[in-house]
Amino acid sequence: MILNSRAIDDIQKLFDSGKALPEVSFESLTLGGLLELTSSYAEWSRVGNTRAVEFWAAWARVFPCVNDAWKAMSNGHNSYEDPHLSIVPRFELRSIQGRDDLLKWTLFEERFQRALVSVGFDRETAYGFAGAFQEMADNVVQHSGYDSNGRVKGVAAYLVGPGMMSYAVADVGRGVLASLIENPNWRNLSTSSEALTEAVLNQASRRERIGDDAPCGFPRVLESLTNMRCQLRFRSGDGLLALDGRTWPLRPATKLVPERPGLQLSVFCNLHSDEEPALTEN
Amino acid sequence: MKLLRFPPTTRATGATLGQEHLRGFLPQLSASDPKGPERVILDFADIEEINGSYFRATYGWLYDCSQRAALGLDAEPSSDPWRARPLDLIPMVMNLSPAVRTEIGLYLEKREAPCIEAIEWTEDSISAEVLNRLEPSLERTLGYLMAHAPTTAGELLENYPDERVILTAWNNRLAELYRLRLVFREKQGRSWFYRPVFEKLMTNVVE
Repeated sequence: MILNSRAIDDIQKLFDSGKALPEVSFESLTLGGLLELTSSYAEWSRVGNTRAVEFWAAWARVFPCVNDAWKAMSNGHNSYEDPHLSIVPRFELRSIQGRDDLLKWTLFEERFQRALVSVGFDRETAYGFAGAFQEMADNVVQHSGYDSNGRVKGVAAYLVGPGMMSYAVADVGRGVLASLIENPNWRNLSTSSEALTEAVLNQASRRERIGDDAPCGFPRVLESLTNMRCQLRFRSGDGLLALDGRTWPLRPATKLVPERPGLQLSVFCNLHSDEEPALTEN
Repeated sequence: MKLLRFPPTTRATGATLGQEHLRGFLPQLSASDPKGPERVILDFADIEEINGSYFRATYGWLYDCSQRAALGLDAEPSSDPWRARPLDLIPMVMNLSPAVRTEIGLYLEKREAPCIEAIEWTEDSISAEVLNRLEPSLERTLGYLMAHAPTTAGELLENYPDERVILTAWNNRLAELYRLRLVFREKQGRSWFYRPVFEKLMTNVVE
């Protein structure tokens, strides 16, 4: 089984309907699948869904990064030591802390940028991807909301392979709809799909500004992917916004999906094919 | 006038970092001053690169707060410490590296707002450039003010008949320059007197 984002939604529907899961082989795991599995686990453990928790545990036994992602999101624990400057990891995962981890985040972003160059992306493209990744992680701190301990619960990861890259960011905060309706200009929004569309495509923000605003955040993601073979997925509440960049301009599509708290996004780009980078057992 | 020097940072990115850098300066920035808005210069001397989110969280936030004061808006109660609130100040920038200047240019282009760069300054005087082009009539009006400040709409009407605009139009231009935080204004009797927020404009638009 390739556990990607769509597979998590399919599995959630099976759990919700009480149906049995198919026989699972733990073939590979995409970043989107990893972080959506992590966010789902937060909800499954909260509501006491034993079958779902066992499913998560089975994947965690095969892929240690599953447990690492959960520890990063739930209590800010980073399982990976910051590598020496000369090392360019192919995969990294990191907790999104609040305001006390900014220097390490800068170094994390720089390693992602170097990793991209090492697998064939030109420097300008690598700079754009890394900058967009940083914006998405910063959005978690800015907008997802704090828990009772004053911490954000978020995690970010990147994965590169020859001519391809993926990054993903996830939190289990209040979600895009609850965030946007803080702004009186967006109080008419009523669904997560609407909120995702406005935030990602129309620069909606929970903070009011006078006059036009310069696009940052989501528009930066879209800008960085101009004319690249890419696919983007944004998920919040019961809303999904998918953007297919295999042809340009990007084609957006929204869909209702099983409810889940927070925001999860994943982006992948492959210079040569539609294959999404994935982690394998080894 | 206040100078706010950001801490040494190779690459200043993200709103969160911007807020951290600005946070320490906030107690110095008062909501209002009977002497009028205070000029606040953000010194980027120790920053090599920024991104749009960082600039929006620092200069952009101060500019929003400044505009709210210019428009006479009240502070709205909010649990968000970074919700913009009226602050009677004139933000400016200084000591821009080439990379910082480029990023600011991109930000201003998309926001269609001016930004004042302080080129030289003393306690009493600022020589400045206005980054990003203003709409031509505003640019000319700013130039006239440099030549005749402090001045009123009525005096501009009298001194520049070739503009072929009525008094209301002059008032509108001056009000817009005030909203854009490019001019001070002071009421004397029944008239508003306007003058630029800097003493010298390095790029003259009107002789």
